[in-house]
Amino acid sequence: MKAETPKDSLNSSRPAESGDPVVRLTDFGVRYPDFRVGPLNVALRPGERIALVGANGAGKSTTLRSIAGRMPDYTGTIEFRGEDLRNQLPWARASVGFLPERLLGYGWMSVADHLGFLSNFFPGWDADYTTTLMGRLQLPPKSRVGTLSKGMAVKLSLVAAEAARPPVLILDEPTSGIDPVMRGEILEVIGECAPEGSDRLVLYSSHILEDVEKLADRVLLMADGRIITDESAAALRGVHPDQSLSRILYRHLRRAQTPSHDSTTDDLTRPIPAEGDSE
Amino acid sequence: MNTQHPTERALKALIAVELLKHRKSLAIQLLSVAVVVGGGLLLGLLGTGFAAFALLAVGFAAVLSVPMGIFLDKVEGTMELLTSLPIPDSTLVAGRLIPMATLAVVTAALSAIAAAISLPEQVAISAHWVAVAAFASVWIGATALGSALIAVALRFRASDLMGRVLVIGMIVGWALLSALDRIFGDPLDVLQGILADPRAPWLASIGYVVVCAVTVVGSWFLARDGYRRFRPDPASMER
Repeated sequence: MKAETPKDSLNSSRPAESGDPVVRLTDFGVRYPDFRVGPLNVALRPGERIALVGANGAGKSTTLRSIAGRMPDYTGTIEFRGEDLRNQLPWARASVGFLPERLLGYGWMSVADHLGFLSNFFPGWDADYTTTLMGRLQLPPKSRVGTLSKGMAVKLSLVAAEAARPPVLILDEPTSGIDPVMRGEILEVIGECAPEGSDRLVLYSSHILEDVEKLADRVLLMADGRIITDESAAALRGVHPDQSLSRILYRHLRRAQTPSHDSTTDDLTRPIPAEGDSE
Repeated sequence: MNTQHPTERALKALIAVELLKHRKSLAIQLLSVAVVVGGGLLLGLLGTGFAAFALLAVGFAAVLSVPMGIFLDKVEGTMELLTSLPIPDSTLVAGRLIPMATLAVVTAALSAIAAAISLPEQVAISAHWVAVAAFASVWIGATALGSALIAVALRFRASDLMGRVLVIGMIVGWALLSALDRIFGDPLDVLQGILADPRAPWLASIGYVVVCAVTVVGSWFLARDGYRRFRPDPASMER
């Protein structure tokens, strides 16, 4: 068991401290030729809606893919429901709905065919629920996958990830690059899929801080491959009651990207200097 | 309620989608075979060169279509989709190789029959079943092995593949063909000589079984290794 760090002590205000973690990362890391993600140590509990926030290249997608069981080349351990994820692959993938950054599918298939194809691989696939979700998101079943707009492609990926009602839903940039109306629809459906008080874990990355504000009850801020802040949304708002959460996150993201900034000592509960002040 | 075993259901879905994916190339191959047969029937007008060329085109199409399809999988992201499904690698590999082999057999058999009809002198054995076996083994072997090698190569970037594997393969292949040609003479003459031997059907049968067994078993392990090691190109993806 790792000794509690000062940063861990900040997490006491998280809403879902009770209950065993459904996902736990221990010294998790991925090495690229010119970059390293990790080591990350974090526990994710049922019922949490967690936003992974960070600049491009911070390591968000790598982390999400690995937790989703789609990227096995990592160091350290990812525990899923108390057991090493590596030992549960490939079957654990059926319990983790994953929305990738771009739609993965055969361009020549229709939307309905695509979902029908995927239904063969997920034992818990709910055809009625799939139809409901398609209607809710106004997905045209006869359109070809290859001709879908970015927004429609995200909607299709969301339906595919959610159709089996997996206990863990991982969404990689679900709202980036799409218009505000579709963004709103997608966020609403995500919220309906995992309402407050449910036992499902939703972990999503986003650059759009307003979306983080709408959906997240816990925020993981990543920079340079590490989690520099892990805090509940409520605690952040409590420390800075005069500012919106997106404003708070924006300023901390800027601070994290300052070359002289020491991310190992970052602390979101510390008052933020006003813009223009030296830190 | 679906009572199929999950693996059986997954395998059927993979085979169906592979056959559907290659339906256009299969149609082109069948059309090519029809052209070969038609050309054969019109040999008096068009000459054997045309029919031989068309037959070669059919063979190349059959050999190249599946590996090209796997490359397309990588480009379109469907390879990432397939490797993200909750199925074992062995199911995924079987789901690709079975339809490949099926397509190869159909094309090879039709091409062999077309060859026997249109080029009896060149093939020298009319519609003898050995011709079918020889063509089928070559096509199955080339297709399966090519696909497996491409699957293994997926762990490299396309530029690596083009720059190293392809160039090395072409040089080695050219060198081997040149050496064989110098040692044994014209391959067609050698083939005709072998087929004229009364032991040819037996030797061809054994050769067919050995080639098929080695290529299928080799392809299985190579492809399984390739899919297991496959991962998205880190250089091209958002971290």
